[in-house]
Amino acid sequence: MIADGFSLHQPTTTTEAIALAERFRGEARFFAGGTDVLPGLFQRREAPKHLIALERIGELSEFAPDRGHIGSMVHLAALERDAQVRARFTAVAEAARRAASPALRASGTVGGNLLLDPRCLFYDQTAFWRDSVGGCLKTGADVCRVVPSSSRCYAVYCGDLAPAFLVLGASVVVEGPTGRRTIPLEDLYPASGDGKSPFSTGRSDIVVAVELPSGLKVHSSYAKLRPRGAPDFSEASVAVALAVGKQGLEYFRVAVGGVEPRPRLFDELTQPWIGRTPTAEQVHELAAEIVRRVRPVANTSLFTDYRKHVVAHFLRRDIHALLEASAAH
Amino acid sequence: MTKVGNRIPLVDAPLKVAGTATYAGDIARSGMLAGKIVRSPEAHARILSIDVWEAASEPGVAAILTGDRYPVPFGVLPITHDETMLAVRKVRYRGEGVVAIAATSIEAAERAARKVRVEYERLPEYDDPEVSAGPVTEKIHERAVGNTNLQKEVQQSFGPVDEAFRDAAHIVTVRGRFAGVTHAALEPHAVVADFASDGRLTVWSSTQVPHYLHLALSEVLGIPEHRVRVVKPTVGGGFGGKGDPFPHELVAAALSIEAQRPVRIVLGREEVFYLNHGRHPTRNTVRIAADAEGQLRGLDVDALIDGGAASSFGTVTTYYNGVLSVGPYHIPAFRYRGRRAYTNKPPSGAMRAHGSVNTRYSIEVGMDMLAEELHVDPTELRLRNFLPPDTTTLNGFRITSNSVARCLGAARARSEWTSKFRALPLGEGIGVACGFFISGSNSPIHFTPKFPQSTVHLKIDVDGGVTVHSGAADIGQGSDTVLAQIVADVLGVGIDRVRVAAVDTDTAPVDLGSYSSRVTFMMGNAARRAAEAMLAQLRNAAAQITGQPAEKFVAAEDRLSLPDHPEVAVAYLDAVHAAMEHTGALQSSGSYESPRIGGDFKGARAGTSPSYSFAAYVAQVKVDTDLGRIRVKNVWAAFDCGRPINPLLVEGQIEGSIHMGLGQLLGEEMHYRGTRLMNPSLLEYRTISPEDMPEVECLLVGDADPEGPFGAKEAGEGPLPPVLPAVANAVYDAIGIRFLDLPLTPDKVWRAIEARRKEGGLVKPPRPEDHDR
Repeated sequence: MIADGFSLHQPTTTTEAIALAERFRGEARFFAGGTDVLPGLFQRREAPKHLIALERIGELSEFAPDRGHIGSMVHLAALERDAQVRARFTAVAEAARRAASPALRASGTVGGNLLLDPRCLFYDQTAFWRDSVGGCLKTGADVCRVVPSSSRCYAVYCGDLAPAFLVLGASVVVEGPTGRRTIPLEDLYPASGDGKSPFSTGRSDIVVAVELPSGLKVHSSYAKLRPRGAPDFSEASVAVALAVGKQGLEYFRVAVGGVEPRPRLFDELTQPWIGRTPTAEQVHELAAEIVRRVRPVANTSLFTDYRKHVVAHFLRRDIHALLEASAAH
Repeated sequence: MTKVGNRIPLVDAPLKVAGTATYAGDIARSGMLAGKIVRSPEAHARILSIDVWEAASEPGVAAILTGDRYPVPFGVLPITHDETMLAVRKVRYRGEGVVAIAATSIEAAERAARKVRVEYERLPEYDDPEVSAGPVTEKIHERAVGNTNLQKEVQQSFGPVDEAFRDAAHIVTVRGRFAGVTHAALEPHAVVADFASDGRLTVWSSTQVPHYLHLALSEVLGIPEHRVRVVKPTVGGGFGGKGDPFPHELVAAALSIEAQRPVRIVLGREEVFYLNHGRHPTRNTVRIAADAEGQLRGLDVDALIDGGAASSFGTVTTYYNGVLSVGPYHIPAFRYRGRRAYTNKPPSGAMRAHGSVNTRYSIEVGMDMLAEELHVDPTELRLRNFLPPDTTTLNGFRITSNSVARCLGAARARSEWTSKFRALPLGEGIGVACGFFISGSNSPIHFTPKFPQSTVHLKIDVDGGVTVHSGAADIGQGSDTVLAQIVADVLGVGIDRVRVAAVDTDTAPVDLGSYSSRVTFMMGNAARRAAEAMLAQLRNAAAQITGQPAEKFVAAEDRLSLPDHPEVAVAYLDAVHAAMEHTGALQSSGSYESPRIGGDFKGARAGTSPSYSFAAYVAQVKVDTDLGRIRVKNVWAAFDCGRPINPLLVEGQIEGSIHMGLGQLLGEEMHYRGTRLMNPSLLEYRTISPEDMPEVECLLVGDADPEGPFGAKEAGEGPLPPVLPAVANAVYDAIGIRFLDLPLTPDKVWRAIEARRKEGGLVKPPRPEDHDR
């Protein structure tokens, strides 16, 4: 059984959807592909009285990769298959391809993946299970079951698309009760990095679309650690985008997901390399420095030292591969 | 035509593929209520009070039960009844049922469930079998041994064990640790119970053992057996996980009695994990002694298994962890100590290749280590030690057909073993392991041995359709297909004429159920005899019509004819109608009783079987030494199931077994922190994905078994155990590291690789011929 009962609303415009969300403030939940929200309802992680489905809002399904526009209701399967996305925004296609399983990618959406609720072994459980533990920070209790001394929730952000979009410099169009705004994607994920409040958007905000810079010419990659070939959530993800010109790197960004409550760009470490080309040892050192700055905790199934090792390994491997590909281009 | 030996798709495949097969959860009865079980959030606690007052006043609630209403203990083995349908006075594991509610809708039942108040007083929790084996302050069950929480202890010794180890030229010791795993069948357990106003109880359940459930219902509820009827609808996988009578089945029946209406209970996936009865978390030590030529002299096995909070099949499991070590190699001296401890975790029980997987792993890894010590190829070492056909093991197992040496030869040839062993690049490897398994437990669990273990009835009426009544439970493995195939073959009719009516205990003769890989062998023999008895009637009719001798007629292609004079023939339907004159519908019966086998010492019957399957597997792997990931690329699975009745189904069993075995090896784990199960979901409990499956080549090698139906033996469980050690031995060949702590998740493998690198480097082990002598 899902819940004691809820009303399903199917608005056809964003304005209508936001008005509904405002009207049922505190009791409403937007609903896109359902692959994250439905398990939440099954497990009673939340019990909204009103579900506002976004599927009938045509605008959200607009998909124009030629101008870098990807509506939030575009399915992961479409991203994975699109030839332009694969060629120009390779990291995004790779990230989509590595999400979940084919059936879930057929209904899972871009917006839903960007706003994937951070996950934790102590949170993604049924009400019965969580109650038997006594709850946790993310469910309103006053203690973290993983890091008992912490006042901050360590649930892990596992969305696959965000690191890929981040390294490509994506923005998101967000609409809320006060109108529409376009913000850099990194601003969707507050720097505070608290798994309990992982997004800067409000409960009545809708992510309308992702905008990618259309003139961007970079090589990009996405690598994901998961216990099995499919369909597991990320335990560590690395996205890299770069372009090499005559004077060395002209573009260089890396992002890491799957280890902390937010996906993180490391511009402060990559931007100094613009105009230069790192040697193998320097790439090694850069990877080590990034790994020193990420702090996974034991709230997933794989060892944290292993997850950090994999982040470093992916970084070294993929930066090398892209440097070679870009230089050869 | 439908011949035994042909590749026939499952007779129920069209229904399953179309989604129209009826599972227990699909069954609806007029006026049916929904049942919900309120479960304990505590792992070990005294129940101080239960308050159902508020729950009872919830609209729609028709009945509420607590444990004191039907406190009669039950369990699959008659000697260890220690489960109750709901907890009585105390709870022993988190997830145990405490209160049951029947209401007009599942929503109403769940609303009421949330209003039940139970007050608990916590007791010391036991999560470590080592601790349970010693003196304890709180016994989980009164029946535990002395002042411990041990459920069962077995000690056995055969032959000169001490001398064997004293005089051995080589001794290898393997200490294995194995996480518990569970069945993860696709279909969660479901049951519908209807206690009708005539005082008869009907239960439709997703079960492997309709007749054991029948007995348990009668005993616990106090209803005479003849007024209890169990029906097994389509079952979506069992693997041992539906092989016990379970609390929810009894609860549904009890709620139906209380409410005087039908009640349905469908377990959620998390509840299935708490029901468990899966493979025991295990620690074992295996010591193998051999002489200088590599002949095995002795085997010493010690196993401590974590039984969780109930006995289930555990006494059998305790024996099987030892006694299933006496093949496929000739063991002249054998000692075993097995202990099973109660802990406050969901009960362990029987799971595919029951009791044999973890010991087999340690033995086969030990054989690999021994080969290395002896500087011989591990396939060669095995060939030197195989049991021959037609022999008796030192503990009294009667071995008849046995093609294990041919299995190994086939796997070795197909895998190109000789050119690969120790010769692939670092990170790639090939490994071998063998196994054997019972083809049906020789001793029935409940019934006195003077009754047959399986009986099949046939009925043919004017329509010419053959109705087969059998108590054997098809749980997806295809026993209905095998049954139909055998009957159709003997009667010489198309399989379409055969209607398998299984299982309804009102009409089906008793069959013990689908466990211990007994069905093809036992039911198959019963079916063949029933069909032959029916054929005799048809031959007599043909003789009457033609005036030719009855015994000369052969049945094939819907007719009975004389092989030497094919023009003398009687159509099948004409023979049926002639036979029916003045008698009406035709009937016949056939049964199977296993021969008396085994010694007369305590525990002598454990592991005895009318026949045994044998296996030899070779696996090839590639280990990603940066990421610690083991990629199993190929498995060459040579299996001796005698003469297969349906090779298609045998291959399905082999592939499925490899999937399940690789799951236990590479990722599946009932992951506990203390007594708390951390991953009761199919997302976090990781059966391997299709992407992780290797190429599997099934090599069906074997001679017709002298007592098996049409020469067949089991193929449901024996194909599982060899794949784990074959892969582990391949990993050793690839990177020179022995893994003895399952599952081999990539983080664990990576840590071992890093440690080896720090110790001085990751290298391939030497080839046998390269050793300094």
